[in-house]
Amino acid sequence: MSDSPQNEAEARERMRELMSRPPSSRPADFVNPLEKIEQLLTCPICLDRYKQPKLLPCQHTFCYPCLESCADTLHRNLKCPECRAEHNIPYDGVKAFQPNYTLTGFLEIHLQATPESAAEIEEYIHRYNLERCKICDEKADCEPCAHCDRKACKECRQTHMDMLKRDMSRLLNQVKRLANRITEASDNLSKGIDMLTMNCETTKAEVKEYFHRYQRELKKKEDNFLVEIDTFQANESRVMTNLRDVLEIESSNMSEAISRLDAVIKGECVIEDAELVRMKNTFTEGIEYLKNFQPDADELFNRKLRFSSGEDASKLPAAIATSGELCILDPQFSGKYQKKEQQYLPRPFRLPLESDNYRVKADERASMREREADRAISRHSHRNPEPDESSIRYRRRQQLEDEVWNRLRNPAPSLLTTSVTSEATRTSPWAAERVSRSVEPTKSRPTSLIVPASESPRTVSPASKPPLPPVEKNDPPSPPAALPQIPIRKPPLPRQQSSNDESLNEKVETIRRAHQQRQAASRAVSSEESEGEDFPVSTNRGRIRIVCRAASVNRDDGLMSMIPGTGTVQPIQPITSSAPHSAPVTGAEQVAIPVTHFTGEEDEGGIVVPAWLQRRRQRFQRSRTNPDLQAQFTSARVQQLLAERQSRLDSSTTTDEEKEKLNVLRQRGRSASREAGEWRARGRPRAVFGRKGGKEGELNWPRGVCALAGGLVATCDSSNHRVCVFDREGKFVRQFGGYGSGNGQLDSAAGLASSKLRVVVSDRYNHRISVFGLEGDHLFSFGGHGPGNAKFNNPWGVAIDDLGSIYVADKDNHRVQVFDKNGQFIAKFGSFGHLPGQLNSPLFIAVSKVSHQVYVSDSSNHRISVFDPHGVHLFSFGEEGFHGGQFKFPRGIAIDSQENVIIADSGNNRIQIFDAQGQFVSSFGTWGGGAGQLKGVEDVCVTIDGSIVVTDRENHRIQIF
Amino acid sequence: MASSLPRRILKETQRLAADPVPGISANADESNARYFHVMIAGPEDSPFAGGVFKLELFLPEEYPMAAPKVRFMTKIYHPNIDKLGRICLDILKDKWSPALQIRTVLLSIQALLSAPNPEDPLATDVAEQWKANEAEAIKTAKQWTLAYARKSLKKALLHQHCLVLAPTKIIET
Repeated sequence: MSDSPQNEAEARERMRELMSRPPSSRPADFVNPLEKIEQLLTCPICLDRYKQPKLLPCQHTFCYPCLESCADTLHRNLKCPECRAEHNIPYDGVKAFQPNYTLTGFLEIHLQATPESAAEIEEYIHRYNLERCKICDEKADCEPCAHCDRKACKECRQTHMDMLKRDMSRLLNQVKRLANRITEASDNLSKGIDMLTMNCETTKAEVKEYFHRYQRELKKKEDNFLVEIDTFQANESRVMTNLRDVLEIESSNMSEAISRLDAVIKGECVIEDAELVRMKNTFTEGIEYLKNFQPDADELFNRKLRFSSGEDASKLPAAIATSGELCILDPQFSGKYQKKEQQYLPRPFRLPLESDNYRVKADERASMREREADRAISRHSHRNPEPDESSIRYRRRQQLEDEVWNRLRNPAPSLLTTSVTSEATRTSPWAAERVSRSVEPTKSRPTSLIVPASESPRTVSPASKPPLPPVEKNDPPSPPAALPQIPIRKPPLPRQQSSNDESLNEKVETIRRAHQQRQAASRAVSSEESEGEDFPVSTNRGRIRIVCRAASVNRDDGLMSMIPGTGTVQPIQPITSSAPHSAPVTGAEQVAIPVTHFTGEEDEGGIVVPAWLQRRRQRFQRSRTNPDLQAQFTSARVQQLLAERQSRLDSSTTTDEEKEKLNVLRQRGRSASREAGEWRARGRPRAVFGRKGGKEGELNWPRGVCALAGGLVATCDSSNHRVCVFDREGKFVRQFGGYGSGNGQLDSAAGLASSKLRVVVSDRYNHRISVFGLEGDHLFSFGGHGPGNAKFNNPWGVAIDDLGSIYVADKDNHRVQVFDKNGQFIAKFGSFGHLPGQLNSPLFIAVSKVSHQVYVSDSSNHRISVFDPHGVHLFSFGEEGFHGGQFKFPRGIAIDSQENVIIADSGNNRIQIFDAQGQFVSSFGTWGGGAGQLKGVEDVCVTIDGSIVVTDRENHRIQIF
Repeated sequence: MASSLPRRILKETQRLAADPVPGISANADESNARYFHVMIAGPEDSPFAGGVFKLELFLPEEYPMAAPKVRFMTKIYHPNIDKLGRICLDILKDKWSPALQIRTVLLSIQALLSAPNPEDPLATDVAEQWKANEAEAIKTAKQWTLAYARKSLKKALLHQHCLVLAPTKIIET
């Protein structure tokens, strides 16, 4: 910013330096403007400033004195010193040569070449040569604006940058305001980590305590068992020892007795007999005892202890296994909380950024598409939570649980955290920013940056949204890309739908189906072709308005005719032929010209035929150039005259009758002023013929019309699928065509054009052009349905130029196609749109025989577009409206021999006449069913004698004006 | 005479000094402002390359209505320049125009050196030779240039006249 003045100063300094150098040592491309000017002001003879510069016939200039001195006075000739051309010296001498006024003027400026002034001039020239800023249209040093990619001046760039900065600061504020969401979240997380540790510790303690308790129980039980076993052992062992002791005593007693008895028997000792007997008893008893001694060894010595876990032995481990459960408790309202977040976050960030308004068109379109997609997604994402909120919450918890379980199961923290962080950062634009700033590619860089909105509401921070145009731009609710997916919902009227390239096949299918339906329907009620087909609803409104107007006009006329013969006002009578170029008019008709009651003009002209004609031509000329002025003038004039008369009348006593006359006069004046121009006289038809029906001479929705040789008129009787030919009086001559798609058959033919030898018909619903001989013999057809070259989608108007080339208004392809006389495709022009050179449902077309310009009724743009023969758009005229020069769905076009352009202003139910430049000249016709009134006028043509033929579509007739 | 010097001559002199033509120098004589000492370097692509030719140029009283009188002082082998150094050049004669200047005249002479025109000779013998055996003629012209024009170069150097005789090649050879 601050360096550019410095640059300028530097440049000036450099300039000065260069100036001070001799010319030969300057750079080759350096031109000192002042020196150049000085050179131009220097006489090549005296090398001084020109003194009285004289211009020689060879266009070289010299000082008068110098010329004088090099003139050959003897031979009275002068050789130009520059080019050696010889000039005769004029009679008055050299001074009679033409002074060079231009140079004189320059000399008066007194330029003095100094480095300073040269630098200034250089600067001026520099400024002059500067580019214009593409934004403010001022000349300046332009550089591409980083914001909108257009070359713009510094101020505009600055403004844009300021704007951008403002937006950025707003964004920054938003971001700042919302940045704490992330810090909060991270704080919460660290808090959560603490909580988690605590929670886990306590849980651990709980688990420990729990298990400890049961361990004690078990231990007690164990101890009990052990004690029991001990007691058992003690008891048993005591019993068994006792028994053993007893047995041992027994055994020793026994062995003692045995040894004593042994000894006794051997006689070693003496024993008393008694004792012996006792012994014998003892032994007997002893044998008996021993015999019976059968100790139950198992019972006495083999008692065993066994531990059994009891009947529910398996239950315990199962109980242990199943005992205890770790439950993860989510905070309450978690799902709700998330939903709230969704509501809060992503949507409000469609800030209406002012800088977005300056995006270039392409960007806008791209972002629009993006936004459409975005919106489609977000619609999904916003619609979804409502119906199954619970499922979402469930899913989220599930996810959380899984996550926790994962964490519990694989304690390897690195794996987990990395996956989590990459998850979190993937969607964050700041990550992308960071990545783009650091050169090395990051591993977690996502492969595609498109982030579905449904997934990202929590992690996408506000500024991540690409800057979008403000939301207030209302777009068509359904994105065009979505169209092919819902073809079934298309309206079943294939003929009206505009071409949609993607779904051609479906279209063809639907067309065929609807066609069959229509066929059936049209057989039943052939005339019931819907009106809505040709007129959108808006025209109906227009028609009502026009009805009012028509009524007023009618009243005017009615009042007029009520008082015939009053002095100043002459009744209007129909004029059959009134164009200046038409055949001579008869006397009776001359008198009826509705122009003669203006006093000023009466004085001039009277009723003499040639003068009248002349004046009319003059008026016509004037009205051609500026009809509005004309109208103003006449109306002012009339108003003035009326005022005068009013004052006169007021001063005297006025009778009612006179007042009435006055009123009439006023009304007359008003209507006359409205209908200025000579085309006014066209308002009455010369012939009206045709009525609804299918017989000869009847018509059903007549559309195109054209004049044939011999004063015949041909019209496309569209719903009778034929071409009817009438003579100029309206007598039916012949017809050809017929319903069908075969050769020579037609299906709702619309446009019609004729050359000397043939008639060209646009066979609308067969999407082809058929060429017939003048007698109706089919020659050939070409075309077919489609968007390609030489294919049509509802071809409507046709035109033939002098070379026989055929121009076709390809209505639903929104273009004009040109073919040579054999039907070979030559060119096409126009595309859908409202910009200059674009077309929206072009209906009819006409080619001027003089200028060869192509006039296209750009119907849905309510204008006439004019192209040169190569399809270059020249200009358009007209706009939507009901005033003169405005249109409502203009249709037919004709060009008369005077190069006037006659337009069938269909929605306004009138014929308008323009000159070749598109200046409004006049109009006639109103809504209605009477003669001269029109309903849905379709096409016009001009016959050789200058009559205008109009197809009055909804009256099913033709009128010749 | 110098007092009644036309402005044009003054201007031309000034411009010749301020913005000299490469390969040409013209300096007014100190005693006579209408008399110029001229040096023309032989054009590179001609047999006169490497030589510097001295000329004298005189502006007659009628100048610019009459052509200046120019003469080669250095001997030169050229079909349109005779032994006396007179030059056969249309603009110095009937094709003179007051719109021409010293500068343009000298440029024309330089061009004449580049493109000798034996069809319109002044030195008939040279022209004959030129027509009969151009190679020989060119050789002679080169010899003459070496013989006479280099001498004048030295002289010019001595006289400090050739400040603007730009081509350094001359000095090298």
